[in-house]
Amino acid sequence: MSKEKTAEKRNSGVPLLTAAMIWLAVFFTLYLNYNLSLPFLAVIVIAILTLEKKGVIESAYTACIKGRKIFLLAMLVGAILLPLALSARPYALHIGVLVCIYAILALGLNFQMGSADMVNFAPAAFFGIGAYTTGILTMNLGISPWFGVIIAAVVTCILGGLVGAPTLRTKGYYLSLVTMALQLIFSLVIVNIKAVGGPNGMAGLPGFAIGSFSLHQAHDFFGIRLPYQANYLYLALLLLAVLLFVAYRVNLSSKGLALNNIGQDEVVARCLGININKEKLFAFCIGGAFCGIAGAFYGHYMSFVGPDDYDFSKSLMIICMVILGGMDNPLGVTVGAFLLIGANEKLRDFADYQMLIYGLILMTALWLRPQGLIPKRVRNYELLFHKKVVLGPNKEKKEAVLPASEE
Amino acid sequence: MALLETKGLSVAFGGLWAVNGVDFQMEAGDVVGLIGPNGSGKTTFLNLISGLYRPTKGAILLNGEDISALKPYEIFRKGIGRTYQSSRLCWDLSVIDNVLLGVNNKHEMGFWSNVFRAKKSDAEIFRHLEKALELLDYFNPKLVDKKYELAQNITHIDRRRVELSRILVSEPKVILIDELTAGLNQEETLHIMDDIKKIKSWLPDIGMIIIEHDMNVMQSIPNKIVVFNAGEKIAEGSYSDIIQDEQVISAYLGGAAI
Ligand SMILES: Nc1ncnc2c1ncn2[C@@H]1O[C@H](COP(=O)(O)OP(=O)(O)O)[C@@H](O)[C@H]1O
Ligand SMILES: [Mg+2]
Repeated sequence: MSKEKTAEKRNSGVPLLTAAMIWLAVFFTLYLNYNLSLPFLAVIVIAILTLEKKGVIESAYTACIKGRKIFLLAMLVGAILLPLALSARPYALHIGVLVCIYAILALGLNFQMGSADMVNFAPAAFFGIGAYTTGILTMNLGISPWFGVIIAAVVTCILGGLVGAPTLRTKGYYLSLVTMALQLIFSLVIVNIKAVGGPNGMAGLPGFAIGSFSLHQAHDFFGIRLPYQANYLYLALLLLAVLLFVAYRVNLSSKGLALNNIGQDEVVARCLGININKEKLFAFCIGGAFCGIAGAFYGHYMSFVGPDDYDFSKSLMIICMVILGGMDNPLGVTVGAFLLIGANEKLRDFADYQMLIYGLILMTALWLRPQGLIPKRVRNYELLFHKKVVLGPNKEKKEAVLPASEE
Repeated sequence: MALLETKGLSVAFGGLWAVNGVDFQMEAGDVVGLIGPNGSGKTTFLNLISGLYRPTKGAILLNGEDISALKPYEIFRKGIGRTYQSSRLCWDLSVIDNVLLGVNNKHEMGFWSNVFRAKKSDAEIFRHLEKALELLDYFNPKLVDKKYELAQNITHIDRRRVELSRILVSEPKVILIDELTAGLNQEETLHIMDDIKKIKSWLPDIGMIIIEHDMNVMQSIPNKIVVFNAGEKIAEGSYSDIIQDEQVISAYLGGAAI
């Protein structure tokens, strides 16, 4: 009894520590000024690389899955505290919201690019379509922003399928070209449609509200005055948590496995009973929906949709997040979004050099570590399901019937 | 009714008939050895049966049902699994994931049951996991300990065994095996042949087509041999019949001993 308790205590130590480290890293990156936070981000990158090399991340990962209840609880506490801790810095809160939005975008792209090796150069177009969809609906028809998000998700999901369909026959460069063209067409078209404001975009999208609680206003919380960005950070964290969960479950499921197989050897996948067209469409649909949700959320948060936020450079940025963070690892791409948005926003002050510095960071990272900072993990079924496979009775039965192996 | 049958099966690439008018039959439990010089159309024959190529002429019947217009994934689901001339595993996936790919289509779960992970589907995944590990254990118990290793990190012969497990886990009716011993040394060839014998005794009703150059293998394992030359079936029969067949002797090395 007491032995079990100490074992439990030992098991809860690592998850607690991991959660604390994660939130401290997030807090300081957002809180510090750029001249401090950039070096801090560099330290985080080096720390991740070192810990990963030493297998510490792997052990922490295992421990967090084993003690998942305590880990999730600790993450929840951190998520509640973060906006409170940053309440004096609206801009830091804003970056936090952006990190969540881009993490969702990277998760969406990861279904295609990470899992199935289909490089889609148009995630920002889906991001934009989500934002414009809800913008048009809420401003012209007056529907609630919540419905706007749902409809945006449905629209981008369907569009994902429509874009995916003609690209089913193409792979590699062709797929990239088709999606690149789509991205450019989207930007061109949107600038030229007067009804959605052309190059000026649409301003005045309504903010979210829960009953009479408007997320667009500052509120008091435990005696702390929280700027409106804090409300959005709570909502963004919740949304990210839900979508991260969905992405994880899909990644670990037979669907994720089928996508991996398609990415690595399409012929083998076809000959193993996998309907590759269906699975590819699935990746485009769900990825599109993720991007659409992020876009709708972003539009209402900014109260504005304009063409510049959804152009080709944004697509490249999302692609970089997936590559840098770790292909086919939902956790990895979230970290990728965090690092790149963190660095990118801090570099705003050097607007002229921003892309240059950001490109250099990426090139160095890729040169040193092409598989990404947190590469994908082997699916450990017994760990994930909390259950051991026992090869018992059948084994004996088989050996009785069969000639013994000579090895 | 034959388990697997082809009638006048033919395919042309440009002007070349890579497989030409092949009539072939096998019953449940048959192990058919397929031999022929390089480029005689053996692999193409398997590609036709597994649906990768569409026949130009002729038909393929599985238990009497015409499957020649089906897609590869549908044919696999009907119960025809195959291996490749060189191992084709997913190198970035673990050993166990590679085997589980064989039952991937049998998880009858959509997106939602994956996300909410219904109890029933959990149980199903575990049933498949057990079956997959049993197969690995059966070929080489050491593979069970390597279940979470990447496929790129195991030996060549073990890769072959993973490939075999990957199709067997789906409980196929017919398995098509293309040059399993390619790249294996003599000792390993003996081991993998034992594995084939094991499959035969374990699943007596399964039909197998084995493409193989090693004549020792051909002598000991198949109960029937089919010989291809230039896309045509030139002979069929037991090993002793085949090695005395004039056409076969002339097809190989212009008449030198096989
Ligand atoms: N997809 C293809 N396109 C064109 N020619 C092909 C194709 N597949 C096979 N062939 C040709 O068909 C013939 C038979 O090849 P193959 O079946 O691989 O022979 P084997 O397996 O008996 O060595 C060869 O001449 C080969 O070049
Ligand atoms: Mg061949």
